[in-house]
Amino acid sequence: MNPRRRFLRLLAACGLGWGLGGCASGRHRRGTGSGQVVVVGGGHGGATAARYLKLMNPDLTVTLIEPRDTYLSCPGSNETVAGLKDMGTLVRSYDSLRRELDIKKVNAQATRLDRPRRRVVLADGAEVPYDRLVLSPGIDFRWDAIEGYDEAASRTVPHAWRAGPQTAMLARQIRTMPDGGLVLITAPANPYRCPPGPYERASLIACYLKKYKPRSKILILDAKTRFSKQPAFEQAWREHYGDMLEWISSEKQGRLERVDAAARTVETEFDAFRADVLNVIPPQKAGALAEQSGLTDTSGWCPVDPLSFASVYDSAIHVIGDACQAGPMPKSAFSANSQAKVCAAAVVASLAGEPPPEPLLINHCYSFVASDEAISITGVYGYSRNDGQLETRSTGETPPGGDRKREAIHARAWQRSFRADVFGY
Amino acid sequence: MSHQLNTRRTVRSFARSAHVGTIAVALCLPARAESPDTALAALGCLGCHAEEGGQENGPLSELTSPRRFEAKEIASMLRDYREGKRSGTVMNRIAAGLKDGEIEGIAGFLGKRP
Repeated sequence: MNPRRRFLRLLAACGLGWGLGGCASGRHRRGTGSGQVVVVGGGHGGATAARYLKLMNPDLTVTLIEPRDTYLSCPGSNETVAGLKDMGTLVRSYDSLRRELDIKKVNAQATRLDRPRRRVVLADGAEVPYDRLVLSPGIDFRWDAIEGYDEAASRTVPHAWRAGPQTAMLARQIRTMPDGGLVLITAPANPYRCPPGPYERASLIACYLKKYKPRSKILILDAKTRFSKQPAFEQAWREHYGDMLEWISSEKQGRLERVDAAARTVETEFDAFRADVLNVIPPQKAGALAEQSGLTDTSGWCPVDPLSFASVYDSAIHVIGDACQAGPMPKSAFSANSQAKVCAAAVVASLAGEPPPEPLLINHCYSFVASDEAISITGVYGYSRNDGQLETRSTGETPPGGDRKREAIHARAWQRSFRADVFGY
Repeated sequence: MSHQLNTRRTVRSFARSAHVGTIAVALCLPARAESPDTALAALGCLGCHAEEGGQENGPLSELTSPRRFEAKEIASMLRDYREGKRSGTVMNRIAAGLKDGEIEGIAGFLGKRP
């Protein structure tokens, strides 16, 4: 039997275990359960959810609603900004999900949820009914958070915090800036998508500038006083980039007061900066559909039950990935992938009238600090029955003196392996 | 009604797989109180150790497919990572979050099938 068939059956066997109940816990045997499950959002969270739903219970009808024909991976996108990779390497296809698992891909924008009638309403008015909905809408930007930085401003001053034309724009600006110029990156307060992302980006831009425009400088203006993987990043920066790259804590500069996109200037409480390339990473919130559907709280993110990732506001809707509040888990592609599997198992169990299996989740994330060096952060998260929340079992970062070259080899292998786990090829 | 039909069909398709017995046994162990489902936990490992896709282009370099090893070998490696007897990059940190019974369960799911 080829590995794919064998693997599929192994996973289906898990679904059988959960869906049938009975054997694991002595519960009454009820049947696998079938139903219509709709997944909205074809990023790493949504694609994983769709794939594992179908692997766990092939009898489910799984529909993936995502307007784009292909997805562009955010992991790896900073490497394209620094010219280490082509944008083509970020493209992810849905063909394997469609052909091998019979997942229905609907190329449309989901514009509204009709929660009482359990329907997703598409841009053309068509409705897709669901028994369970998995929402993986990713992030949206808080365009009102920074004076002068709205959606129009982002057309010349990129955020590049979703892979796509914004990434290409930032890469182009880095390529065409003068030697001796200043690249200014503003990093938001927590929580936001990809906590180490701004620092990986700064590292890789420094890597490019050191080679091609060595008189240039990079500043990171941070809304925080510390950041993810900080000791490992700072060690790599000292070793590779010296004075070229400088991180400025919010303790030194205070609040980011305003951005002038036309002049490419940034004002803080205490100072003003003029950049040749300005990259503003604005504060974020859950994707628009979640907010419009009443699934967010005052934080702007979606509270969920971490046993099933069901919304606390609607038990037929599960929210995974960057949009949800998953306690101590960071907003990363790997977190979304891990949550999607827990969510899929819970949906399969719930359609069979069973309670969700108790989860153990993993986060793992690499950041490149040079073309052939990477650092990582990992976390294992269990479920606490005391407070009904996720708790950190273990967490750790690449230590000083860690093997960054070996981690870079692992990081590139991970990009391929992760694609296989999420998109099935 | 349709549930039962589906179940029978699914079970028949599993019956053709030599691995079903192992999985069924793994899932039929009595559930310990207040413990995670180790088959579900093991799926988390596949975010790095997926074997599909990579097979067509040769083995995934550097990220070892756990299916090359017997379950007891994987369990032993995980314990050694956890206790610092084996050095790795990220696996020491991940194994630190696993308890003994969880290591056995995860290894049982990931390991080579007879």
